[in-house]
Amino acid sequence: MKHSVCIFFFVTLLFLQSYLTYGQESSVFIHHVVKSDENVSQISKFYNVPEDSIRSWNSFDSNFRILPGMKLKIRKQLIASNQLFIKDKLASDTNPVVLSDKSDSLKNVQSSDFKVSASGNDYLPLLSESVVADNKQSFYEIFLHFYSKANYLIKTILFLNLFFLASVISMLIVILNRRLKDSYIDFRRSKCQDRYRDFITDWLYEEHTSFVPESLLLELRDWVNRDVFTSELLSLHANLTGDSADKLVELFQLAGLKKYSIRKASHSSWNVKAKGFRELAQMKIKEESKLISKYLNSGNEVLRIEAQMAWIQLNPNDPLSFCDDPEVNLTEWGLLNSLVALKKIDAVPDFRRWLSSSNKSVALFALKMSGVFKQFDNIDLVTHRLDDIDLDIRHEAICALGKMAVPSPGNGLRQLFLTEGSENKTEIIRSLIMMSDSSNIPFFEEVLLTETEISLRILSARGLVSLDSVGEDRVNSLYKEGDPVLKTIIIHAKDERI
Amino acid sequence: MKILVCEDDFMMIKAIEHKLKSEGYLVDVVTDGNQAIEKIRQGDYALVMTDLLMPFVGGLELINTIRNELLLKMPIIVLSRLGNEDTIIEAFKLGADDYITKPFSPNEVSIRVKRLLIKR
Amino acid sequence: MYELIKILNFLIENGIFVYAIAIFISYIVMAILSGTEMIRYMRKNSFVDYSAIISSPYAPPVTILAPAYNEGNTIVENIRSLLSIHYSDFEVIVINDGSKDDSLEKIIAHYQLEKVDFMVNYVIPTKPVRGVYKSTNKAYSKLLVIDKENGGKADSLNAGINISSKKYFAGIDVDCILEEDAILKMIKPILEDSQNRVIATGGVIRIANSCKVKDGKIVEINLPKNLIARFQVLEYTRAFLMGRMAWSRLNGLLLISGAFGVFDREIVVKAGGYDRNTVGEDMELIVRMRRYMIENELKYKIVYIPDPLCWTEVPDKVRVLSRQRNRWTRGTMETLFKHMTLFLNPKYGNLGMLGHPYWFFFEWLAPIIETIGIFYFILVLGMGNPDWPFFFLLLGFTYLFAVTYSAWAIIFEEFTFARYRRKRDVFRLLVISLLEPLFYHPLNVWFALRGNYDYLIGNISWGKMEKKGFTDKKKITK
Repeated sequence: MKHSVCIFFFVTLLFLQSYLTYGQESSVFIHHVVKSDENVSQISKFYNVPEDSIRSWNSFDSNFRILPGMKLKIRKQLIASNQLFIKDKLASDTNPVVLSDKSDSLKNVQSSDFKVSASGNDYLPLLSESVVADNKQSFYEIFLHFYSKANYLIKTILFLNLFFLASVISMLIVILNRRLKDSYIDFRRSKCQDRYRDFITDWLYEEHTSFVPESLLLELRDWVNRDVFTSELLSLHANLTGDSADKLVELFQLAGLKKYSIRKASHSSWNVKAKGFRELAQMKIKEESKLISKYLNSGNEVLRIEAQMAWIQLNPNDPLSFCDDPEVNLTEWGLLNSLVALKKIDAVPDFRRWLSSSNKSVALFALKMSGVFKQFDNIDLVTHRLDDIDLDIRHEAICALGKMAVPSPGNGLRQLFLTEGSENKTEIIRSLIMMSDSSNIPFFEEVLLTETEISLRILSARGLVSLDSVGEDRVNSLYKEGDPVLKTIIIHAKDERI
Repeated sequence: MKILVCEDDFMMIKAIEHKLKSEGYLVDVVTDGNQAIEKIRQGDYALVMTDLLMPFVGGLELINTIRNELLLKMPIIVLSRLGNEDTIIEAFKLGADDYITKPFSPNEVSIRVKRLLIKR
Repeated sequence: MYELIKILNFLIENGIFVYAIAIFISYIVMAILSGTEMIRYMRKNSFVDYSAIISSPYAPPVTILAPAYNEGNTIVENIRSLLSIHYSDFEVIVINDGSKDDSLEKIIAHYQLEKVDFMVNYVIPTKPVRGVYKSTNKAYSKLLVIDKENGGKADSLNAGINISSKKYFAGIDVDCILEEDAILKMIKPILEDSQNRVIATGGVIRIANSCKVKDGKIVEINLPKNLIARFQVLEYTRAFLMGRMAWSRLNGLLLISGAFGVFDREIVVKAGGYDRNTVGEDMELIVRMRRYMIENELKYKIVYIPDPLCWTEVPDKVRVLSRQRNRWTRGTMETLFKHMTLFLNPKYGNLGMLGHPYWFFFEWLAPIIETIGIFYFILVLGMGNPDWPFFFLLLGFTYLFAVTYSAWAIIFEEFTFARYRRKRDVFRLLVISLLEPLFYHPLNVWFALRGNYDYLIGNISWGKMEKKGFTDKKKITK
């Protein structure tokens, strides 16, 4: 579609250009009215055209005497550039070199020259009165006249104006075209969507069916139908597990949709390819996973994430093998997606092997995942990461330890507290709270009483409150002895609604 | 026995409806919280199944309306993608009886429905 | 004397001419950049499955800050709409900025709120907080309401920032309607970039006038019936789809609309929070955040996404529009002059060399230069014989350029999100693009001039903004 628009533009431009050039070819002569004391030689110098040309245009020979009042035809095309030349000379304010004496025609030129410049454009060459022909010309001829006199700037502007006009009109056509196409496709979609929905849900619950009617297979040859069917099937499959999901996979295969997904996955355009990966992954077409392996660290982020997600789902034995690649770049968005994919395969690898990775994004990923999946065996490596130079890695390690909610790393966290910035401090307190370890009580108390940052104090008060009777008693006694600020902090912390 | 299903995903509706009907229940379907409240006021439902993320009136608000405004005691099953622990806890605090996260198995749904209705 | 006039004449003519060429070229460049950026975004997001991630408990926590002043008519509905956003970990903080009407009473009644003893930490100085309220009803546990003394929008946002503790916050106008997955879509760019820290994201503001709203959700999208609002539809489409996308690409975005933006709380606090003393607080904060990151040599980005995520009502009366544009002009001037050190300062990269000068010359000075041009032309008319053909040619050029540019904006919209489904709406927009340079644009130039004048004489008011609201109960006439 876009191509045809471009072609249309270019054709329009060419057409306009050739027309205007042609228009120039058939240029109109201007008429010069001979003043007294003018001879052909002067006139030819003034217009800077050869004397012979003037004679030939007016069909007289060298013996002919021109008289005042006569109208001589001079060809416009040559004048235009010459007049600019003259104008330049005038503008430089020296005595006009071209003209020999102060003829009236020169005075005309001079005065109208200044008049024109007072109106604000140095660019438009003279439109001296003698040039505007006294015989009536049609608007069209005036226009052509004007055009051929015009310099390149004017031509450009005119051209652009026409271009704009043409482009607005063609845009209208494009929009209309697209709308029509869209409504046609929508119409077709709506016709088959309900039928397919019924068919798919019936398939789920019918005990005996395992064959797809021939008519449906024929229909699915058409891409619109296929598109609707595939998306309805996949969206339903995304919500179901168990044998219902398996039945849908069976339907997918029987309806012959597998080869189309493979085709998509091999497509050159990346968004089609990504869609193909998704379909292959969801329908568990394991054989084609090698198609995906090339893109696991693609420069194109979307393709990379889709490939990784697909890989996870198709390789439950070693879903995260791409993390071994030292160059791979895992973003947080990729992490969220990977989590979704891992949940689908219900087989989580041990993240131990990546916890010490030198690749920062892989290390962050492994730390986060260890926490999410509560891999207690890796506590030692995670704790080791608390000493890392990188702030983000420490942050992630702290969070992971909190999620695991085991008391043993508590001491390490408490010691780290002294050297960290406020964001990590917050995270340390949060993690300690999750450990529900009463040996943290003195720590919480100290933070509550001595920290300057209010948010940290509130958080540690919460920590005390969370530790049942012992912690609550401590908090209450602190409350009794505390200053107003401490009192407010404690009340705030105790309020469950906040 | 009548069951009310509140769900705005069309295909999900069909799948659940089909399953429950095949077990012998009468099923009514609504697609947003407002409609759900209206239907509950009018009809007599043995069980309500609702998604959390629904237009206009969300799932949590719906549970709250049923328990605290309409003072009805029928079992409520929440069916949702939201896997956030806090949300699940909130749903139970407000009065839900069971929580199923998507993706789920329709067989599971039917078993849980049966279990809750037997208790009654 | 004559020489002086000649020199002035030369300067003005050629100056304006050069300026005009510069503007045109910049528009074209921006259109091209925006176009490529949009295509990239559309392809990227054409099949991203948000439904899986929306419920992910590992998506970062976000606070929604909604300052409210005298919104009594609609506040309850607006809050409900905010509470029904599809996101896993978020809270809604409504800041009642000392409303003189019964906004607070209404909210307390409807959402069953009661006052809690909250330890307010004035990290950023604000007007005193009179009370913090939470609901006794667990269905509304995500809601928190702040009641404070009146201090303006910037002050309210700062109060909200003080009280929120989550990593990100979204500043919105309380009467904006957000699409369900708005927060997730705004967070996505933050999560996708592992090289830079994305400190703010902005989205497209769409115009909700004449749209059917039910219970805080847009159910039908219509082109506004009101003419002034229609002009703004075109204006916003152009500005967002062809301007801001380009700036996002160049990482020179100076403005994220106050109507909807997501920010990194830590950086906002470190940069000092919103400035109370300006009426253009949204723009001023972004500039200051950028300066903070550059001055501290931290790699960062501010991203803009073209998804229509936020719907708001725009002024439909000329009087109200004039107050709004007046305020925008004053806000722009305040920000530009406050941060004048950025101007053509290579230390600040794209911000100093492109962003600030662009706003200075093409956003602030444009109406002024245009006015000078008009006056000059009138002068010339009086003095001598102007060159009519050339004049009409140039006029035609300017007009056609404006129309074509708007048509391109409509095409961008058509090929991307196409929210206006009816064909006649598209035609109506095209008609509007024909009328705009004749009616709407001069109006805006006038408002901008008034803004400049008001700035110079020191007028700092916000101006009363009248809004109708979305409740079905209210009959929206026209």
